[in-house]
Amino acid sequence: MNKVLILSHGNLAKELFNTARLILGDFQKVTYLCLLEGQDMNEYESMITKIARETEQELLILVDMLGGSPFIISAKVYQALKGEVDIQIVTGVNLPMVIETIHGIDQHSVAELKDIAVNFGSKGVVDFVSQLR
Amino acid sequence: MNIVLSRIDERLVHGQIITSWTKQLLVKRIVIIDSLIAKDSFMTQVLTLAAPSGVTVDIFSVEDALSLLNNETKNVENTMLLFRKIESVLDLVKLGFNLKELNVGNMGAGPRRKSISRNVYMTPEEIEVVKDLINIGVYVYLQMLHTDAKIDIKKQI
Repeated sequence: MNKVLILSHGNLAKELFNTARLILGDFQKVTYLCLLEGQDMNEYESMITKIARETEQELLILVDMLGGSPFIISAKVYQALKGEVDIQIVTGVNLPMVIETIHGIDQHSVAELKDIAVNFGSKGVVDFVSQLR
Repeated sequence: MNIVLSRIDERLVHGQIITSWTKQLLVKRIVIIDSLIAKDSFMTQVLTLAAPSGVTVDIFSVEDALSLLNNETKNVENTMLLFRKIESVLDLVKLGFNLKELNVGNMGAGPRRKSISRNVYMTPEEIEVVKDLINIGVYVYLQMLHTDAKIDIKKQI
């Protein structure tokens, strides 16, 4: 049963998934959807709705960019399934966010995983040279 | 307001708009003209949140947009007009708005819609609306990204 969905423009979502697998080995409950050129947006929305409905009433969506279509469509699905599925949406997905979310996937609810995602997603962004003494 | 682009884009505020167009054209304000979305408080929140930093998003019905456009002629802020439906453009023009150019960006595939370009599909009725706009004197062109060439839609329909 899926608990985390990674969404992106182009193949980024798939490659984040594959790269996480390279680092963590096999894991469960995570899936992804890539938004490719020419995609029918109604169909895209239906696919996300289907994935959300097939969870244990909770889904964390990690989406590439605030304001992009994957985000907008996720927001629509959130609103449409309100009361039926607990959907959380975090934007700005990156590799640390994906990895730490997967680490916690069995122990935490989606509401808790959301905080992990935000926390590790932002902690991974560091201006290295300015940190040197 | 200084209108730097008027565009049909079914996806409204999205990746191409927030990353490419607003930066290339130094857009400070996006005005979405759509009577249905103007009434939808949830989508209004989502689209407002979707705005890139330094850009405001406002959503108006066709009628309210007309009064805004008429009242803010002295405002020099770079503004992008975004439409979800081509019919809204014709409504606005018929109400008296003097639109010179219309960019057709994204209109997805769907039942009864035929391909006009790689990213633009229209029903026969929508093509008629385009023809009406052309007859009124609007230059309607296809251009998805700022880096793409403008293509006169007349040649494609």
